[in-house]
Amino acid sequence: MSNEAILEVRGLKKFYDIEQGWFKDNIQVKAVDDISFHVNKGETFGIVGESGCGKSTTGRTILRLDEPTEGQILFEGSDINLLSYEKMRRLRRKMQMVFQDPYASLNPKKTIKQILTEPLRVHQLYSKKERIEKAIEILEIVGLSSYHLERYPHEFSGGQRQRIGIAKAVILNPELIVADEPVSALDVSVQSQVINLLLQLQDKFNLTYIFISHDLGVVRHITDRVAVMYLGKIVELAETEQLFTEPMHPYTKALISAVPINHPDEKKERIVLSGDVPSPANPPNGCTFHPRCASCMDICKREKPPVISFDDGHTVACHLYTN
Amino acid sequence: MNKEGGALNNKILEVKDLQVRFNTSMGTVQPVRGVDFQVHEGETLGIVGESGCGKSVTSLAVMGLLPSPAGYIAEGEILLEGKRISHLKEREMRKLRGNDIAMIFQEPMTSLNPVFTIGEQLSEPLRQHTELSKKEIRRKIIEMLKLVGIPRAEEIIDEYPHQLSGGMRQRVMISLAMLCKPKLLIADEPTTALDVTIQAQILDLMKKIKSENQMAMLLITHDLGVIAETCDRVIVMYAGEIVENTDVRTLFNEPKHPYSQGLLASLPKLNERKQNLYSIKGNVPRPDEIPKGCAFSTRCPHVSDKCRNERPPLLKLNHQSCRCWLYEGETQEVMSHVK
Amino acid sequence: MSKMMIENEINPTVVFPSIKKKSKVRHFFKQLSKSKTGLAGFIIIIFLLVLGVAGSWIAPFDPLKASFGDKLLPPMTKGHLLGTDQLGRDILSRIIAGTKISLIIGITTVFLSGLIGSIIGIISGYFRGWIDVILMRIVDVQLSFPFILLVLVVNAVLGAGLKNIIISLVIGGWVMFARVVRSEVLALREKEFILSCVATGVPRWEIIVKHILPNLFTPIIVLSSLQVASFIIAEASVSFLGFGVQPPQPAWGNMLNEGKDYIFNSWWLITFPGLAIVITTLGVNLFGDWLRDELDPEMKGES
Repeated sequence: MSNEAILEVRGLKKFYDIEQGWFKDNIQVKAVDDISFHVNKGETFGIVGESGCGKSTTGRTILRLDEPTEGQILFEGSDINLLSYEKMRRLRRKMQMVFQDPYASLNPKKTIKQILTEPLRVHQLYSKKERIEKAIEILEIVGLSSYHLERYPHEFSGGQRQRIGIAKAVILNPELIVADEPVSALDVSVQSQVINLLLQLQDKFNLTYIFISHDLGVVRHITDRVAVMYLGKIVELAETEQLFTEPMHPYTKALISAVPINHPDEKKERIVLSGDVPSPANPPNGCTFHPRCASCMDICKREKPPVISFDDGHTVACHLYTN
Repeated sequence: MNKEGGALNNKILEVKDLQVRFNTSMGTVQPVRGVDFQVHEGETLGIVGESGCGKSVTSLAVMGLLPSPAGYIAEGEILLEGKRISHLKEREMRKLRGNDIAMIFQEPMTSLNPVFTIGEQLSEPLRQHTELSKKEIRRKIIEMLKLVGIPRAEEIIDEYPHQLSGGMRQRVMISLAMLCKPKLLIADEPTTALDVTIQAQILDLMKKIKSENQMAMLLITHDLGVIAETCDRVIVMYAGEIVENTDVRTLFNEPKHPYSQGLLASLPKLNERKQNLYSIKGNVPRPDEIPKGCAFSTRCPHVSDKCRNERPPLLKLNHQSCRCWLYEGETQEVMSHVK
Repeated sequence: MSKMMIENEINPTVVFPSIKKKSKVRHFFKQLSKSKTGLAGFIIIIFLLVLGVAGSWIAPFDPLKASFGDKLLPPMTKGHLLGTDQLGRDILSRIIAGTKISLIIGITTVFLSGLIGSIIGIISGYFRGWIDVILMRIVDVQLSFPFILLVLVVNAVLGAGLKNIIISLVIGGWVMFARVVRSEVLALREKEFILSCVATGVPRWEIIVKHILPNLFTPIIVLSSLQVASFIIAEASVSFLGFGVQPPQPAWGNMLNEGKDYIFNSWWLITFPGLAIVITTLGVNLFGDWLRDELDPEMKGES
């Protein structure tokens, strides 16, 4: 893991317009609202948050699977947001994605052989024969075998399908992989297998991961740095262990305290948030978290909090820390 | 909260040797292969297991909600306060449902009818099972909604399900379940679809309700954290049978069955950061692929020849029962019917 | 001990095989035989195809040969199973000849309108944007006209004849395909496996041809089988009204037209062509319905 940034996101925004007919203004949903962060080469960068926080949208927008409304996405130094469709398509070789739903991310009508050789073929790598060899190689690395080449996705379990999805992403030997809730849809005992696979592959191929998840236990285990998102904004970003042992933002504290205990005897101080998550189409004024915050002050209702950075790279967006 | 188990004198639910079969286009499968357990008044029994273990089918069988004619109870009985309910006709089951036994499901959106208001849906069980007037029903509903922590109860009552968030809907489901003060509440993955902060609220609510009403609760989940939070006793299911039955503390401190041990060991918290997690090798077998002998034999780190050939019975040990040949020497008393 | 053994027996050794290409045909016929209506429809269609192809050999008389001495003979006289019309022509032979026309029209129009409609639907659904807006407004406008009326108007402009009726039907019929295909494409492009293709870097045209198109076959086939019936009825209507296929070439529609004047005394002139239309439409619809039900769960089972 180096300190060289492989990806830098600056001021990323993704807004959706919802039409309301001729007599009302459009509603604008600010799914991702001005976020900035960087990812170092070789590290595992986590993005956590609850539903509607914008973490999945962030993952897709970084890869331009959803076009950003605004912002810069610097991959290995250059802004990929400026690339033409064709140039971006060719660059995808280096930035891949692992999807959440193993039952939906593989084309049900294609064999595993077709699914795995396609990325190589599309980027014009290797000869036909070599591609099949590569497919077998990657299958074995993920714990399957050449026996599975001629089978169809529906013949596999969820965990196996997820391995195939991972194989498809890794076969191109990319630099960066965005993993969007890669284990959330899997059974507990399968989750650990797939997480181990991801760790091994990172080691073997020197991969950089952006790991998006709502499961704090898993995130704590495998990430180096974590960003916490709420209603489209990053409210806190820090090195993983520090985030979990010394959280600063009230939302982060509540989130960590909400995770179920690991042992019946464990006593937990629960911070119960009042109310529900507001709709991203109608976020509160000032700090979007203020209606639910136990430490809400006057200024929180009026002004958006600035992003405050500390020396160790820990950042937090909260009025409590403006000195 | 009393974690040693509630009042052990009053048995609310008893399930004996339950076996459920399904006729599918590819043959007959048996997702539940002989399950025994009891839930007492004031006690929360957790059923933990992964998909395919049969836990949901078990709860559907208790409620009489197996998809018939394909699914049916092949053998065994289910007793509610001592009376057999497993072979009751639909008409009699309906009298029990929402009244003596209530159930909440994983997806509150699909459990609530989108075209009826909350008030209309909540008044349903009261209209069915009581003789209260409309005014009294409305009053009771508002009271119950407030009890489950819904702030604007008088307004919510006239709103539709889609206007509420997931957490609110699940609270509505809980109040729907609680309206007739059931003796037994079955909760099937009640918080799986909810965000973690909402999950914490709902679990607290369920604990509060249980202790206030001395209700018996059957909680089905795959999440060991939820088990640790809410349950007094736990049964671990694998491939259609119970492999371990114990109180919650013993399960976390001294799990005996290799599958339970494996599940606990693969929790991220208990592994060293950034190192490989412990994982159980292999996959959960499909109902038609269950190995001969012990169902877990193909994945067990301690497997022996006996395990491969003979299906172990449920053995009674000091603090728990365990379906594993490893403990044969520790006991002569066999818990289950198998012998 | 014995109980344990019995329990170990209750492990059915059923396997979920993947259906290989060869046995797909066998599977198709096996499933077809399970459905009374589907099988009936299929048999009717096969019967029609046979008539259409081998009709000229099967027909007892020359469909065009007039014989004034034998005019308006009731069914089952002088070897005319279904009687003769006002010019003494054998009705059965004319119906058989008409089968060929109906089949040609039905198949060609479905093929052409399906092709045009699908291409437009795919472009509209995949690329969205202003092209989608324009194309769909055209579709909406056209759909606001009653189908048969539209075909009639176009045909009146183009003039009579087999070629023109086909053109009219295609112009009227492509919109249905465009609508259906577009909505399927809209749903498909949001599916994760398509997104995965984009993420991999598969070029757009390849995504459309290799990934989206194969998933469109089912809805297109189902729609086609049902549209065939619509087209046959439309052609019959148009021919009945005096346009479309002109006499003396026999088509069920113009047979109805010619026969309507004799409805009270010589009911067989109208009844049998009418029955032919009904049976054909019924057969195609029954088969199409079965096909739709059959292909749908299979798709669900595969994913």
